[in-house]
Amino acid sequence: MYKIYKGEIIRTDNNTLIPKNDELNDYQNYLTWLDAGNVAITEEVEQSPEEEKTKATT
Amino acid sequence: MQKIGDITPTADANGEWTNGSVAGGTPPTIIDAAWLNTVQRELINVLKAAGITPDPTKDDQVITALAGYFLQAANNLSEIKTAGATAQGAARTNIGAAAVAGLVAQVFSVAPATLATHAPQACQMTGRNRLINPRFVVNQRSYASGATLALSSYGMDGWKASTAGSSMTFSALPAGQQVTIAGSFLQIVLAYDIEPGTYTLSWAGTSQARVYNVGASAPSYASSPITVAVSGGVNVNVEFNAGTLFTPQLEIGGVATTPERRLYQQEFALCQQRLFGLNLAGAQAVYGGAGTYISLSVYAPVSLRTNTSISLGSTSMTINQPGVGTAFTTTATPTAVGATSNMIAFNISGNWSGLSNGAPVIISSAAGITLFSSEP
Repeated sequence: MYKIYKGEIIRTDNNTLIPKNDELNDYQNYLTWLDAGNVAITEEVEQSPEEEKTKATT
Repeated sequence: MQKIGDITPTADANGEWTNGSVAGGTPPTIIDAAWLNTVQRELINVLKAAGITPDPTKDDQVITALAGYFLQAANNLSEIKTAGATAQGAARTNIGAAAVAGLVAQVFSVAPATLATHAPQACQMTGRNRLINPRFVVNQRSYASGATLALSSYGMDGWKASTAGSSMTFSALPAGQQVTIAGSFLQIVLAYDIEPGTYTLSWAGTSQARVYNVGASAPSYASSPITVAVSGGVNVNVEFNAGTLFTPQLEIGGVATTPERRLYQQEFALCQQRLFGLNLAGAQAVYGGAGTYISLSVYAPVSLRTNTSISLGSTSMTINQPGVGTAFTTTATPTAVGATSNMIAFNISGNWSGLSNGAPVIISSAAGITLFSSEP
């Protein structure tokens, strides 16, 4: 199982950050997982109070 | 050779010369031309055998001929040295035949073994085995003996399951350990370790194996040893099927040599180029995003072959900000890899709060080993 968190690929069962790099076994396994018809969940990112404040003033 | 006793009855009972005894009725031995010729022919033959033509003006031809036959102990074989490189090579071959000649070739020219007799010498050289962790002594993932693995998941360092549900069963031995494979495992030998040429894969155990370029069709499995031509330029799969396996070795040349024995520290460093682990407890970071992440960087023990995936040892992590307090998270998640070689910068997102934003913190508690993988 994988999720997309802050634009990054995260394997959820072992909490692994996976760069998009064809040379990496972890990324190849992610592509194989997608080829099998699976879809990574995009997780909502909680904004920090400062980020919210910045957003509110712009 | 004729003795004087073979020529004249005037010799004594031993066939040797005698001065005789007139009073006793024993005649002295006659000096016979036939015996003198015998002695002369013997000396002439010494010269002929040495390729020397008799020269009536010289009287040192016999000793010259003998000097060509014998080495003088006091000279310590300097006669061979003086004779030149060809003679030296011939002498080495002659005294030890091919084995000694092979020793010279392997030690000084580091040529691939081409004869079985090269094996005893080649086994003294390190760097022959293109496989890492062939004795199954490095296990940074703490892979449990017999645990089943998903397809393309790594177990012992360097070895990953090439069929779903594969496992390795092992027990530690001082100089490495034999494993028993269920399913199949492969190791990817990186292209930069495979120059074009003929390679031999050998191993102990009942597993069968195959060697082929990554992306190419897999050939049939075969028993040890396997000799294959490798074109180079691409990664190579070395794959073993079910059975026992110990000391697999992939080496250039057409002959299997004695398994190389590397020190554990060497083996560990080879493995760390693809995977290394750190306990992040004690690492310094910067607290940012008003409690949503910390930023830190770690220094890889060896330069990695490419950028890494990062697998946190635990999603629980406590950080401490000196003079301020501590914060704890249960949803730590790595994000944003920032480097590719030996300095790895990344963030860990979490739900920390209450600390001073933008200030240094120490990760005071982080269970498990965080793994940095650039495994192919």
